[in-house]
Amino acid sequence: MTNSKSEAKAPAKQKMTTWEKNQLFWGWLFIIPTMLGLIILNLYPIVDTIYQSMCKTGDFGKGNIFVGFENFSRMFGDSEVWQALLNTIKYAIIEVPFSICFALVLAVLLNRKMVGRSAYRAIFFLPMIVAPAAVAMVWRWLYNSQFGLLNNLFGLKVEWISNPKIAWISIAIIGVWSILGYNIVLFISGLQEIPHDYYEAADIDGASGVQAFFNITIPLLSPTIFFVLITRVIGALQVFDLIYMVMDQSNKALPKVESLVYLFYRESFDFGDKGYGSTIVVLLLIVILIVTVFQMIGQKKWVHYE
Amino acid sequence: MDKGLKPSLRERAGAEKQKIQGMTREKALRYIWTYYKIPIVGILVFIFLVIYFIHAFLNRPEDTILHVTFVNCYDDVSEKSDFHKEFLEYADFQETGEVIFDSNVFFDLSKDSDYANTYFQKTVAYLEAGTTDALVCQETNMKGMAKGGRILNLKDERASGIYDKYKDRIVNYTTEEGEVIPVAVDISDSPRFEGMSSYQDSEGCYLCVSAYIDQADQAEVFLDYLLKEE
Amino acid sequence: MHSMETKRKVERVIVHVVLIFFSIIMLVPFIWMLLTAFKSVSEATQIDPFVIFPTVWTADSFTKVWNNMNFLLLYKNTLLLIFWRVVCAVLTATLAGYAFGRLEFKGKNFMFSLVLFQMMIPAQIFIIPQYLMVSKIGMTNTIFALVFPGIVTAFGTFLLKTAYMGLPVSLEEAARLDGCNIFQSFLHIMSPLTRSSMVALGIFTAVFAYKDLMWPLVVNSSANMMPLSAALATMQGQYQSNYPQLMAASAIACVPMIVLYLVFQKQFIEGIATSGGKL
Repeated sequence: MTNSKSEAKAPAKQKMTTWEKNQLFWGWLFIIPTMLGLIILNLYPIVDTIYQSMCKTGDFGKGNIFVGFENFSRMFGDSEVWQALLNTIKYAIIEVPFSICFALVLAVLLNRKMVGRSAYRAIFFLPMIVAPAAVAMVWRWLYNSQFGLLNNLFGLKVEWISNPKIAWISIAIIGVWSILGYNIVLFISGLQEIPHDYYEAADIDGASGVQAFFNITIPLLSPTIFFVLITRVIGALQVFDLIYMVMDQSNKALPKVESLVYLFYRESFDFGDKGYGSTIVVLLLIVILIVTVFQMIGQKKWVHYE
Repeated sequence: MDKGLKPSLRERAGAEKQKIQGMTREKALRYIWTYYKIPIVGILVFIFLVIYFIHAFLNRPEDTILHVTFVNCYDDVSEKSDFHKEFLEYADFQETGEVIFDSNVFFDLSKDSDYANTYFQKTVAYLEAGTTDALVCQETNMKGMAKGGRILNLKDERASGIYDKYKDRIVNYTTEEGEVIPVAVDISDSPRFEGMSSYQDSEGCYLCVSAYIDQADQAEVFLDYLLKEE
Repeated sequence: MHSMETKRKVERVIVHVVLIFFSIIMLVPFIWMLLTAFKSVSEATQIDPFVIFPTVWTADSFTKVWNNMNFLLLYKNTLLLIFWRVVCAVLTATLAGYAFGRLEFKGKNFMFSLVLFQMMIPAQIFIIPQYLMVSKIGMTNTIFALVFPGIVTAFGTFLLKTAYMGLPVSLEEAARLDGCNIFQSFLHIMSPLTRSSMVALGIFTAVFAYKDLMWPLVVNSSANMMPLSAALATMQGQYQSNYPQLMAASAIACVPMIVLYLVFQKQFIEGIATSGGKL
C-alpha cells in the first residue's frame, strides 16, 4: 500500500510524465502561501539570531561588534547553561510521556458513546481558556508550603517549589496539566479519522477494550501520536512561561529549574545581552534539531500510514 | 497511467462552458456554485484583502514626532488630557506628525509577575524598533533599564543638548565593569507632575533616552517642557 | 452472557470514575476564577487561613468591570482576530498539508524541513522583528496587525500533513481514474476527510489567538483596537492586585470562547463519524 506513490513515479525516465508535472505544479502552488508567509515572518529573525550569536551587544547606544565565536566559547565554560540544558531535558522527560499517555487514554474514553460525553469534552476544553493569572494563582496556592491545599490535604510539609530537589517535578506537573487539553483535542481528531469498521470487526472477534486499544487504536493513531510527540518535545524543550509564572527570582530552587529559554530571556531582555542570549538559542536549536532528526529516523519503526 | 489522455486546460474549460451554456440560468448558477464555490470564495476574499490593505495603507497614521513611554503612570496622559495638549502648545512643532504618550506600560523590574514580564517585553520591543524616543520611569525601573543597556549614554553626541543643559540633574549608572555612565535626567520635581497621582513618592522620577534614537532633539523639547518654571 | 453484562457495567463505572477524577483536576482553576470573582479584595489574597468560598457573595466586581470596560468592542476585536486567524491558518495549512502529505515533487523535503525548522525557534525572538515589519509599513493599530503573525502556521501545516498521510491511497487513485485533476481530488475527495483535523487546528488557532497577549499589546496600543487579552492586562496593570475584579473580567472574557465552543462542538464531536456513514 505504501508503495503505490513510488509506483506512480517509477515509469519516469529522463522526461517528466504529465502526472509528475501536475504534481510539481500543484504541489508548489499549494505550498507557496505557507512558504512565503513563513519566509517573510520568520526567516529574517532566525538569520538575525544566528548572526547576533556572533556579536557582542553594544550597550548604551554603542552598536554591535562582531566577535566570531567568543560567545560560544563563553557558553561552553558557563556551567549555568549546562545546568539549564539538563533542567530542560529533565522537564521534557516528565512532561512529554505523561501528557501523551494521559491524553491518549482520556481521548479514547471520550471517544466512546456514553452518557455525558459532551459535558466531559466541554470540561476538558475549559482550562484552555482560563486567564493565565487565574492559573498562576491556583498553582501558587496549591503549592504554598504553609497554607497550600496539597500540604494541608495530605498533612505534608513539602516545599513544592522552593526545594531544589522537588521544584522541577512540581513545574513539570503544571506542564502536564496545562498541555493535557491540547493533546486530547489532537488525539480526538485523530481518533475520528479511524473508520468504525475496525472496532466492529474486533468486537465480533471478541477482543476486549484493552486489546482493541493496543491492536487497533495505537497502530492506526500512530501518525497522530508521532505528530504530538514531535511537537510536544519541541514545545517542552522551549518551556518558559510556567517557570516565570510560579517561581520568583529570589527562589533558591531556581538554578535547578530554569530552562534554556528562561536563560535566553534573562540574558536578552533583562541583561540586554542579545548576543549571548542568541548563542543560547542556537544551542537550543541544535539540541532540538538532533532530537527531532532521531525521532524522524525512529518513526519508520512504529508509525504506520495507510 | 493516463498520461497523454488528459485533456488540456483549454479543452476542459471549453467543455465546461458548453455544459453551462446548455443549462437554464438558475441551473447554471447552481452548477457553478456547487463545483466552483471554493475558488469563487477564494477570489472574493483575495479582492477584499487587497481593498482592505489599500484602505489601511492610505489611512495609516502620520509619522510620529515624539513617542514617550510612561512606565507605571496611573494618570491620563493621552491625547485628550491637558498634559498632552499643554505640551503641544508649548512645543509648537512645525512639522506634521503625532506626539504619542503611551502610559499602557506597567512593570517593576525588582520583582516579576506574568503580566509585568509582557509589558517589559513590549517596552524592549518599542525601544529596539525605534518606536519609543524616551522613557519616564522611577528609580528601580531606571536602573533595570540601564542594566539592559537599552538607554542612551547621555554623553553621546545624539543627546549632547540634554547633557549640556541639564548637567546638574544627570544621574549616573555604574556598570558591573565599574564604568560610570550618565543615563538619566532627574525630573522628580517637575511642576508638570503636580496634581498627578503618579511619580509622587520618594522613589523619584527620571527621564531616559532610547539608545536606538537618531537624534534626541524632540526628547529635549519634552524635557524642557517638564522642567520649565511656571 | 450475564457475566458479560456485569463486566460491561463495571467497565462503564470505571470509565466515569476516571473521567470525573480528571475533570475535577482540570476544572480547579476555572472554578477558582469564578470563586475569586465573587470575593472581596482582602478575602481574595488572604492566605492564613485560606478562603475558598467567599463569606459574602458579591457581584460588585462584575458590575464594576462591565461598566469600566467596553466589552462589546473587545468582543468584536477578539472575534475578528480569531475569525481571520482561523480562516487564514486553516486555508494555508490545508493546502500546504495536502501538498506535503500526498504529492511528490522536487524541493518538497527541503521545504518541509524549513517548516519544521521554524517550529524549533522559541517564539520570543520573533516579536521584535515582526513588530518592526508592521510598524515600517505603518499598519500598527489595525486588525491586519493583530492577525499578521498568524497568517500561516507551521504547526498547522505539519498537523494537516499528518492527517493527509493517514488517508488510504486507493481513494485518490479512484478519483484520478474518474478524471479528477489534483485540485479537484483535493477539494472534493481528500479535504472533506480531514475535517476533524481542520477543526482541531481551528480550535488551537482560536485558543491561541484568544490567549495571545504579547503580540496585541505590542502592536495595537490604541484602546479601541485591543482584543480582550490585552485589555485585561491593561486592567491588571492599572488596578494592580484587585484580584476579584481581574477574575471577574477574565470570566466575562471567557464568554465568547464558551459560546463559540458550544456552537461548534457538534462539528468537533461528530467529525468524520457522521460523514463515514456508520454510527
